[in-house]
Amino acid sequence: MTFDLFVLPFSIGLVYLLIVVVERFRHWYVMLPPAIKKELRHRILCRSTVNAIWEIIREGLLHKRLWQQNRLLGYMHMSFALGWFLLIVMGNLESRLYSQLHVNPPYYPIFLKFFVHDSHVLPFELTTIPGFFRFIMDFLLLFVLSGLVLALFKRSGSRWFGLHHTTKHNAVDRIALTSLWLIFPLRLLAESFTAGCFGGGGFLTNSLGRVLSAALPAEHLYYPFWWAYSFSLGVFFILLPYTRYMHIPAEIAYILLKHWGGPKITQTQSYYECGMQACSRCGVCLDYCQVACNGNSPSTAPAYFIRELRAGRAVKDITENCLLCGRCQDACPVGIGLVNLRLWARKQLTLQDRLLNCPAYPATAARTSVEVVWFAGCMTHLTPNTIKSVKQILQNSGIKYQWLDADGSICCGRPMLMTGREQEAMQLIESNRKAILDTGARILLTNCPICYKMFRDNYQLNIEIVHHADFILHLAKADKIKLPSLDQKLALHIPCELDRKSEAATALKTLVGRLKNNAQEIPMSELCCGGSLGSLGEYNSDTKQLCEAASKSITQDADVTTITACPLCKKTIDRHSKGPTKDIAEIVMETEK
Amino acid sequence: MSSKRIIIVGAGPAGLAAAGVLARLGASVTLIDKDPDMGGHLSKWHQLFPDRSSAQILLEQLVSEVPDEVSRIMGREVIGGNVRTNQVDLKLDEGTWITGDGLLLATGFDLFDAHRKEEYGYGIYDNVYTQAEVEQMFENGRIENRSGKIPQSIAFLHCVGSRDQKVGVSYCSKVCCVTGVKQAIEMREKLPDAIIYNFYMDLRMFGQGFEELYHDAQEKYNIRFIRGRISEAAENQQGKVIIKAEDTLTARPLKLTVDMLILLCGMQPSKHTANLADTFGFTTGPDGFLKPLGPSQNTFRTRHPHVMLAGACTGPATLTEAIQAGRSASLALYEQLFNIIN
Amino acid sequence: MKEFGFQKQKDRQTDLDQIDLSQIASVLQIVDSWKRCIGCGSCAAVCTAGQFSSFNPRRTQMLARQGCYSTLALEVAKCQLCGKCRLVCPRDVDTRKLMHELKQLQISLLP
Ligand SMILES: Cc1cc2nc3c(=O)[nH]c(=O)nc-3n(C[C@H](O)[C@H](O)[C@H](O)COP(=O)(O)OP(=O)(O)OC[C@H]3O[C@@H](n4cnc5c(N)ncnc54)[C@H](O)[C@@H]3O)c2cc1C
Ligand code: SF4
Ligand code: SF4
Ligand code: SF4
Ligand code: SF4
Ligand code: SF4
Ligand code: SF4
Repeated sequence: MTFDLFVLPFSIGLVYLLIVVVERFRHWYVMLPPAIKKELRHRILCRSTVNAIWEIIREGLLHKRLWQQNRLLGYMHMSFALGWFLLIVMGNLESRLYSQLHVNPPYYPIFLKFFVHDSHVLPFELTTIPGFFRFIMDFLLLFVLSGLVLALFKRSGSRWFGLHHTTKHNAVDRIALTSLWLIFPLRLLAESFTAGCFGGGGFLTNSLGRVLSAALPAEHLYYPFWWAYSFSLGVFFILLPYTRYMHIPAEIAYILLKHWGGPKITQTQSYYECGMQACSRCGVCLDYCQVACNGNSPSTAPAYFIRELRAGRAVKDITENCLLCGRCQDACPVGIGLVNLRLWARKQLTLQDRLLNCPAYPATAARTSVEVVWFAGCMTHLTPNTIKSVKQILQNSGIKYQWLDADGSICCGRPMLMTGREQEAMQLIESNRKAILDTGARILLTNCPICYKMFRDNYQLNIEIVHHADFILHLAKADKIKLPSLDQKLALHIPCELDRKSEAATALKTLVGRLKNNAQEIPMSELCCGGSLGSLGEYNSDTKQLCEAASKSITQDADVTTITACPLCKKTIDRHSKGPTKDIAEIVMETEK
Repeated sequence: MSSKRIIIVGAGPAGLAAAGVLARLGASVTLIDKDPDMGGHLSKWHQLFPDRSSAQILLEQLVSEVPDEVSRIMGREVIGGNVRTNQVDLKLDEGTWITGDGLLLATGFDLFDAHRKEEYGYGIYDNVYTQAEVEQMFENGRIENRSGKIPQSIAFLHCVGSRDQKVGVSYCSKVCCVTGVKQAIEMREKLPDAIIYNFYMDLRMFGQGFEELYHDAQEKYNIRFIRGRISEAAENQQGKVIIKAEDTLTARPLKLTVDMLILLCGMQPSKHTANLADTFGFTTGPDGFLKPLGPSQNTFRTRHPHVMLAGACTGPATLTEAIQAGRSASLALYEQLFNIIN
Repeated sequence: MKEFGFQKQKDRQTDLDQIDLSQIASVLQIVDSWKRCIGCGSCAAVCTAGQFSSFNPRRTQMLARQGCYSTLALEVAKCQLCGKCRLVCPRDVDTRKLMHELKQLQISLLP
């Protein structure tokens, strides 16, 4: 007997799910531009595939990044993913012991214990092959169930999982979640009752079956439980594409796209759509997002923002008030390109049929042969202390330089880009690019981390781009500048536009470390000052909250000087913190006098 | 009767006026000031608006009204204290306490610290000054910039540290407009050939003779008023200041190179205001200055009947207002302590 | 009138009786702080785009505020959204956000 009516809900659900998933995958593939399709086909037979598969195992099953976040959380996700995966694999192998067919209907291994009782096998038998499978299947079931217990627990005690916030779900999600959570307890009960009536089962189901059948009419109960089990699977499969559980197939597709698509893939519609679906709503990002934690907008965090996107709702507020600080992206265990995703959503909201009317630089001076071209940046002009210090540093070092924006400049274009206006930003890029290259300089020095990032990532200048923190450190290493040793209390704010892991950010940290000769620890913050041009939130009120929280994280006292390396951070922090705020260049030069 | 001791904190115009009145009435008065000399801000000014009378003479008059019986504790700062029924205890900066039966706070204001508006380059560029420094120049009789040159072009900037949310100040400091106009006129008298500009957002000429002073500045003294707030300043090779503003009335951005940029800094609550308010249980207004019981009546009373406020410690004030307040508050305090009315 | 060489020009005058401010209402709602502008010109003084072009953020937004949309599209397109202006506004108007919204508005106003 290898068929019973109760397998239908499961089978229908599975077929439906497969159709939908294949259709989505196909859709993502079809939407790719031809060049990327070619790239993709080309890479399938390369190392990329090995890497992709390894990443799928590492992140999809083992959840390495989640483990790094928090062990309980990692275990919970792993027990579900790896446990279920192995249940399927092992179940399939086990079913082959009892079936002569090469291809079994998919429900057969799932409901194997209904069809095959094999009561000769002892519950704790490990030495025979069937006994081994019995044991392993029960063990895996227990493994998954342990994760389930943790998941239930997480709803109330998310703090234990290193999360201060846990995601809230909507109705469909809740039904899917309930059906998912029911699957394994129902399986346990169905198998246990069956074992109670007919014998068989492993150490868990057999023992539980005996206990249960002693107390309850197992012979009447086991069949309904198989129905319930099948039903919960069916419901879960049918709902899956419309809930966060779509992340299970989407994450695989996302990883494949990432490895196969080449560098340009990150700009494609498919990548965004797939990334959006790949979010498991694990909630890790909630605690990293300052707008969610310290601001008034919890829904800005990717977990909720993506939920809105999936539901086809482009909510203006949360699309626009993200700081693009990238902290969530660094933490996201799925590795979703969250910053680009937000920008992509902005592009959908931004009306761009009329293009910027970009002014040209006034006729640039004849090509001078300078070593360094100095681009202070628009906002740096409002922090003359920085300008003066950088100028002194340049003069003291004896380097030949040209100050490109002494009389003003054209914006680097990053602020424009961050509002979702790509073409307009391109015009600014072109204009600046020409002016910079016309100087013939070998090094481009800038004081603004926003410009720094933009020049580095979007300008293709083929000259060296340095932020002044890095520049000063180089001079100090070459003994061209003497660093002061300070005894005032210091704190360090790393501008997020400097990119937490970039050379400039590292240089800034090293530099500040060298300023103190006593081994006193300098408190450091990598939070956003809240003033980010990435955000279109209300600069004055929203920023206040974010900035106060950020500066509190490093200092509460009025006698601590906050060091930063960005004119915007400086202005913002100076306004909202108690103590003075100074640029690193200022600090270095201050005690020189 | 004079066994009751009244403490006056602050020997600026308001405190001096109050001390004079109370001493004449026969009360026993103690005057405390953190500065070694009396006079508060008045001692820093040269000529007064609107009539250009001498600050020195006014100060001498106020001081002369304070008889020798008034005990003076100079060079001591009041940093805290507490108020009990019928008694006040004040804590001085060296740790001693002083006790009285009544208290009059006349702690005045502090001038806004121009360093906080970095974009104007105060303390960064050589030739950016505050109006207080300019008063000193007038007092010394020499108008010259840091390199000892006589300036040929001068720009005054109104509303520095006032009406500026970026430094957390939304109020108007009231006296800087007319001070700016007065100083521009004085400059013109000293430097007939210089070009003098006043950059403003609004000109607030509320007092008697103020608007007339503005007329004169335009007509007789040829001061150029430009409606636009300077927002950026740079320095050129010669140490001149390049300023950027918008000439809003022609709707064009404006660039100007001057030998001197003078910042008309606003008034802010004096250093210990928040602290004193806290320890005495007063409220402060949205501007951070001490808040008296009522805006029109009881403008010098606090919730403690034997503690009064007077002068610029309750918000930006002219000398006229500060002196009046000092006198009124002292009378009210006297009435209160000696049960004149009940 | 014609004989005197005069012509009554509609554009010359802001006719508040006729003006339709409904379009601007949505922007005012999003950028609340806009209502606080006192026209001090600080934004125009520092404006990055204003250095090399005829762009003037104060004038542009004030015209919009009075319902004069005729030049809005041409003008606001010049803003580079660099955000320098919002660092100087004494009234804490979020000028950059305002320019962003005006950019959106002018496009939606196009025929
Ligand atoms: C640039 C400028 C020019 C001006 N010119 C004129 C003018 O021409 N005409 C005019 O009418 N007005 C003028 N004013 C206004 C005038 O200066 C004030 O109205 C006046 O000084 C207010 O007097 P006051 O006594 O209330 O405060 P202040 O003059 O500030 O005196 C307060 C005194 O209290 C002392 N003090 C403060 N805290 C403590 C403490 N905790 N412990 C001990 N002592 C303390 C201070 O040392 C000070 O001596 C001008 C103001 C400015 C800023
Ligand atoms: S965006 Fe990443 S971190 Fe945030 S909920 Fe989704 S998967 Fe988790
Ligand atoms: S980029 Fe920053 S502000 Fe935006 S969602 Fe991520 S953590 Fe929050
Ligand atoms: S008095 Fe004039 S200069 Fe002073 S804050 Fe008021 S408006 Fe500004
Ligand atoms: S007369 Fe009245 S309305 Fe006119 S400026 Fe003076 S206070 Fe303002
Ligand atoms: S700086 Fe602010 S108050 Fe001044 S004109 Fe611009 S928006 Fe208006
Ligand atoms: S954001 Fe626009 S209006 Fe503001 S300074 Fe930059 S270019 Fe000018």
